[in-house]
Amino acid sequence: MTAETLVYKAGSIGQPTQLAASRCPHCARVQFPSTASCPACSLPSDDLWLAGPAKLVFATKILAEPPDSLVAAPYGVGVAEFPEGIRVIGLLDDPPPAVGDAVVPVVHQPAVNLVTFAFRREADQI
Amino acid sequence: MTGAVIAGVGIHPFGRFPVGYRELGAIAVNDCLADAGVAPQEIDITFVANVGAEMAKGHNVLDRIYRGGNPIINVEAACASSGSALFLANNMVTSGAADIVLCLGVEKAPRGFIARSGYEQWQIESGLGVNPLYFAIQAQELLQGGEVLETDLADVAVKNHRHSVHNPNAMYRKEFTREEVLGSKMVCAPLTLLMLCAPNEGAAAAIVMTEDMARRRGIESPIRLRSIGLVSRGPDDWFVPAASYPIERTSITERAAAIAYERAGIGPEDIDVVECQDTDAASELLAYRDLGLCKPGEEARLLRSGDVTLGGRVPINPSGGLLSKGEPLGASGLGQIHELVQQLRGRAGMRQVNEASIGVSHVMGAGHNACVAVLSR
Repeated sequence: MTAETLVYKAGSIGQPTQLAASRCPHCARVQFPSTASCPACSLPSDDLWLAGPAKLVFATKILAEPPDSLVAAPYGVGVAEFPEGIRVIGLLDDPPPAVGDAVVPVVHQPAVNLVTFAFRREADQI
Repeated sequence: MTGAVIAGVGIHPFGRFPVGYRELGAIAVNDCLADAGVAPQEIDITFVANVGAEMAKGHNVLDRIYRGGNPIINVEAACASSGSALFLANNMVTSGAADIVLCLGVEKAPRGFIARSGYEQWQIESGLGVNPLYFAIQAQELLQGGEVLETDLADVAVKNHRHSVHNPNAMYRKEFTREEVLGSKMVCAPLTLLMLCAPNEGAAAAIVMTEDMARRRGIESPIRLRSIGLVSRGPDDWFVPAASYPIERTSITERAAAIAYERAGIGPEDIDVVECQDTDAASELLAYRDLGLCKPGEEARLLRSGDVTLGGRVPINPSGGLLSKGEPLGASGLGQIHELVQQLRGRAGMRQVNEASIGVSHVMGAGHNACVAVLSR
């Protein structure tokens, strides 16, 4: 799994992490995953790490895994709204947070051969 | 610039069939040529919309009809592929670069999830490469707004399936009750199976030519292709397969519609009939506002009013929409054009919209692309 080099900071399973985003110094738009240049201005972007807490604004359950997924269904997916002004789609940790909960990104291992990030309820932090 | 007309249309029904995409496409093309009274030798250029087939797909379809040496160009823009092909045809004709252009959309989509929608490898491995997830997010947002209820999502499917009963080209020609829609298998909350369209197979074609050419050929009922608005992803759009989106986002359909309406010199109040991208029930409701048919927050009110049902003020998806026809990705847009041409000719039979004179088609696809076309008698 290559996600950690692209989209989140590597760490121990279950520990809080940060998502690799970027912000345009000109128009302040935020992108996740990070982009080298802003899609609106085409100017070089600055690195921005999203640590949360964010607010979970959407949650659902995937009941049949899509092609080439390493995660076996069923599993939870949600959208977390970060204070930096961006909504990120990600897996939900177990127990799954609910819409309205404050969440943080954590390093997550949903399958033997996969480490990625997921959203965990802030109150459940170890 | 000269005006463009649709001189003829053809279709292979949408569904599942024991033949390949080449056969499906050839049937739609032959149907179209016969309808337009055009010989294959007269075609200046052909655009073939398809998402999933092999290299030189258009060439392989057309080879079954005529091998004339004129250009054949294959077009891919996900669910907006055949809208994009029509856009190119319109530009060729109105600019004077061609007199007669053939557009074909054809697809033989595999069963199950639509794969290869452009997700990054980490999204695919993490199980996030799920198109219905994106539709579910939109649907939940609509529900969270408080005006749209789950019963409204169901009623979009009920309406479109009721329309489809009269469409011989639809895959499902059966009515469903609200309870049946709500009680069908949950795919991605709040969307149930009957609130989502099924990828499938089919083909549709159109002959586009100049108004002068149509007049000279004595074509009795050419349908004017008044305008096309074609737009791709902008910096504040959200779309399949983006992993994130801005809190305040823009609508690609709204931008495509604004271009199409301005070029046609019409407003949404002038529209008599619409075929829109009902990939899922929530997408149809969002199209109401993005096409300017209602204000934001009034989508459910418009649906409940009956105005968008056959017999209402501006019927939407009288064909049954993608929810009933299924969605052969590369053919869906020209399938809408086929329906609108029948409606504007007054030949739509039991699903005829009364005195339809202006029709609008709308497709939107992964990537992100949207196409809005205005047709009139």
